[in-house]
Amino acid sequence: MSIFAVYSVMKPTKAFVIGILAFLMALGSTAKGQEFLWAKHNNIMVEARVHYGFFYHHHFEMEKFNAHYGAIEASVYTRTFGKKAWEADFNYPYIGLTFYHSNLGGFKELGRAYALYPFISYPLNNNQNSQITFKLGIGLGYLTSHFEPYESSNYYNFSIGSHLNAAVNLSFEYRQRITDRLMSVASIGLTHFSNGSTKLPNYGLNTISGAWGLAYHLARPRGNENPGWRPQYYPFEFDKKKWLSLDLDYGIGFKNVSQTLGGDSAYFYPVHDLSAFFLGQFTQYSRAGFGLSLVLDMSDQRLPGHKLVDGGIEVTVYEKEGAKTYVIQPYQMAKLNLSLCYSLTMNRLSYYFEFGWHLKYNKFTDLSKGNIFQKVTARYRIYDNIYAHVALMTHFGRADYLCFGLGYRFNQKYYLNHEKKTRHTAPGLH
Amino acid sequence: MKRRLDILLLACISLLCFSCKKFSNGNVTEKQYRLDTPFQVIEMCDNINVTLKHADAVNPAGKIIVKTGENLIDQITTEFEEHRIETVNNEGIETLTLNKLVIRNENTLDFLRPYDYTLEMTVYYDSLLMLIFNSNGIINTDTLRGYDSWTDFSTDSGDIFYSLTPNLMLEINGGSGDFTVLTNCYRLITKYMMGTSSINVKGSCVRAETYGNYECHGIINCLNMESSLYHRINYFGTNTVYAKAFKQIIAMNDNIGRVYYARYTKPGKVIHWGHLDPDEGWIPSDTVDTTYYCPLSLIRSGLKPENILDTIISRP
Repeated sequence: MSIFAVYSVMKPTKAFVIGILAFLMALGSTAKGQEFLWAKHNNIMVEARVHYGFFYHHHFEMEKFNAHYGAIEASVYTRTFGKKAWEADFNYPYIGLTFYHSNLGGFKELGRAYALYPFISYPLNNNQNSQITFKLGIGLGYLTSHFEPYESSNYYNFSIGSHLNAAVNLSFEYRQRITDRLMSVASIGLTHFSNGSTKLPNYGLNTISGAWGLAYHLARPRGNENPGWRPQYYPFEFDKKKWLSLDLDYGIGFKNVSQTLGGDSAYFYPVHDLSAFFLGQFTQYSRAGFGLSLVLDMSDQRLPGHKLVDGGIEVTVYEKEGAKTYVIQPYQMAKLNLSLCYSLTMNRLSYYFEFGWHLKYNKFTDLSKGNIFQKVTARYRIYDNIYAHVALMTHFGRADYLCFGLGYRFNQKYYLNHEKKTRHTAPGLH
Repeated sequence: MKRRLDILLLACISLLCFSCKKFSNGNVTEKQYRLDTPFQVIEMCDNINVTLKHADAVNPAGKIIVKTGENLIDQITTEFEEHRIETVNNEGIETLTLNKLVIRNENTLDFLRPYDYTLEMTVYYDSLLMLIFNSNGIINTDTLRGYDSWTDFSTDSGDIFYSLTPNLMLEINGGSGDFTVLTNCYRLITKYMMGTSSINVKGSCVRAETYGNYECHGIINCLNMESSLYHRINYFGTNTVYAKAFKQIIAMNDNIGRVYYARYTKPGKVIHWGHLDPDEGWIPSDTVDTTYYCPLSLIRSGLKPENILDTIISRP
């Protein structure tokens, strides 16, 4: 059904879609073809999928652009086989790169979408022939049209403010092995485009789609290394020590508000984000705790009711006695945030998920986006305790800012009191 | 496990296939009914294309005609709500309680049905004070006279008195539907709070007031509406306002949006064009000899429009 739907909706790409599918089917029928050494060594697979779906709009206004439409994607990836311990612990996930293309329903205001994103797909069950997996992909997206003010008809598209965006894919997949090397893949998921509010307006574009495709091993698949052969790893049992960590990091993001609130179209206001996380480890890969952050968004000075004057920013604040006008410095608009935090670590890469509150720091703090926020951070450990990170701050799906930065982790080993008494005491020494 | 997954997948596909018929819009059908309660305010929601027509002997006020697919028509609803507005008259502030007719499309799971379908409603009315738009549908009206309500007037001595005049208020709270309003009233107030709708106002009035909020992204075109006294514009949006007044235009713009205006020397002929730029201020076109641009401080000072005109003229 999806192939025919895509065939009718995406005429320019029909030959491409059918061509890829035919190619993969032909490969599947000659499963004993030439094997590439590199492909065998890395367990490389190629995959093509066709999507059929619809928009899930954040804003009522965007429902002007409702349509059912198709998309195609092609991926190259490796099915991990236990080369590293965490691969076995996560059921041998699939890691690779996806190219995605859609005509977004054929609306000229929305244009066409192209995306290239790395992904990781986690198996949720152990069966090698019939698997359900969860795919998480984050990368770059390019949209051919975006919001333009004034009389161009593109003021209707206020979901997207720039050509270059982040592309995020979240999908549940069902993988069914057909032959040794050929696999059928069906999925249902969400693809999201947003520039992280680097250029406003940015409400984001969401598509929900079902997809079907074929995946093919370029070489005979490698067997999984048996994790049972590795020594069982008990992280804290030796002397019952536990770890607390304090992570300090600084990130900087950029915002351009020229299309909504005026200002120089080439000027990007900086957003400074200084964070501290207090985390405790409770499993081999998971940590949890809380975070405190101080955020200064310099684009706030262009908010309605704010005006740049000599010596600062003129702000009108409505108080009990009526409206009062103050002249303040930018740092007085900083926000203090408190959040609950969970982190999941895989080798050098970690994901941090925060759910938090803006504590009203003073009366000049802008809380117009709401008091509650969610923040997703991807961290990569560069060296020892030094890490780089990219973080996206949102308010219930509406991006606030995207920032990049560096941080340092301080680890502190500790023992619980009742455990401390029995530590290092060998039998027979009393 | 594998068998269970296969059965689950098969069940999902079967469900989708067999539900296709149920989730169609059905053949286009028409339903007519009449509302007995009179109403002065209409709020249009969702994606219904609405046509407003003045009641006559054949089509009495309150008559509603709905035209859409047979599977959708029962969920196109009309209901009444109380709507309160404050008016000022000679005796002070008075709260006016009006009946508001709310038009909604309560069909859900739209993504399971084709999106291109007919959804039209015609409403016959007697007298309207206010139209509230929160819709992605297209809206058209015949000539709206407005509803008699209090308007303030000032005498030469500076005293203010109030008189009942036909007034009309347009409030755009959201949506992307383009609409055209024909009007012939004394005072027209347009309040554009949010959305991407493009408004086309035609006809005539004596006093026109237009307010556009920061999240107003659509065009407000009043070039085909003649304001015989003034058109006062207070615009913070990101798009464009076109206005035309016989005597005076007062515009304030505090964002990237633009205000274009036209004035008459004699009715029907546009001779002056100008452009209000947020950075450069008022930029008149080459042909402009007299323009009235009111700075923010004067608007905030609370002066009456007539007095603002005097102030600007007397400036060296």
